[in-house]
Amino acid sequence: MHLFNRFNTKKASDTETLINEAKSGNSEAFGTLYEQYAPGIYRFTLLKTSNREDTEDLVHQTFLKAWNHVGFYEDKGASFQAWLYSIARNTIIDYYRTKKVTATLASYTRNPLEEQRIFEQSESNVEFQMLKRHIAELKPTEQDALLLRYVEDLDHNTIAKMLKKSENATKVLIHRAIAKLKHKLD
Amino acid sequence: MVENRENMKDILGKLKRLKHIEPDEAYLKHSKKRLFAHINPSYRVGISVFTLASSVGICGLLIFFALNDSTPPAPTPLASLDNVALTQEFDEINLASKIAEVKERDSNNRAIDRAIQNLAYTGKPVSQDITSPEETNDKIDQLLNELL
Repeated sequence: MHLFNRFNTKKASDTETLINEAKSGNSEAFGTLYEQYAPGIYRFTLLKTSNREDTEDLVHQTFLKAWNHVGFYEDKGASFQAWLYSIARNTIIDYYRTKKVTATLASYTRNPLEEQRIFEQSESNVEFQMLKRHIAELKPTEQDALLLRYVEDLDHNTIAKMLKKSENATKVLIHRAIAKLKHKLD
Repeated sequence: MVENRENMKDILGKLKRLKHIEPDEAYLKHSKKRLFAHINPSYRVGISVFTLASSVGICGLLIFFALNDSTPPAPTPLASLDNVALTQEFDEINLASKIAEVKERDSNNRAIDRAIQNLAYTGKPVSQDITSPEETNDKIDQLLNELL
């Protein structure tokens, strides 16, 4: 446990160093941060957009925005990871607002390769299809809260700051989302 | 209550399985390169210089062709197929052969004259072949020298 804590502290320290270097214009440091956080941003974006091409484009835009604004990033209680998810979330909102795209998880049928890959990674494709369809039927904020809490493992406090809600309101939001999901799956 | 908790665990378990969704390595590498193309100034400058150099080169070639009548140069004609040169060469050969013919006739005429004169003075017939003017001339000259 002690070793684990030391490892986490060192990792956090390394990340902090990388962030500071990126803030001073070191693109290599930003590249390392990209490698660290891109998989999570990709997953979150894919589950929100349901389209691989859009996801790839949006992930690119997210990190480009992050690079352009990293100089303004300050750790005010929210982690760098949470900051990136906020950018991703806003990028997705902007994208669909400008493109007027109405695609949701329920219409996730355009990328058979991606579908196949997820199928291989999930234990049951039917179960996965049902789950994503039910998540897509939730409100966007409920989707975000649920995915950020149980897929991306962010804590309630961080999610609350991202969604600009109180921690209790966020917990209620997540609880309500799970209840809706349970009802749909029953 | 217990059943409810089990259902909850089941749903959370299903949600956590979504963590297995990950981009493939090839995409991540490509995406990182694409990102660096935007954010790395030296990379961007390199691309810009290359683009500028290519543009200048292409423009230079276009201007070159435009100034040179914009048509590709005609293939160099073979000397043996040049009608004018051939005609000139033929005329020159023809003239040279005529001059040679005149010279030969002139030489023959002179040889005949000398032989007739020799015959008139000495009464000896001349049996030399007048078709070889140099040889004939030499012999005539020799005979003349003897006479003189």
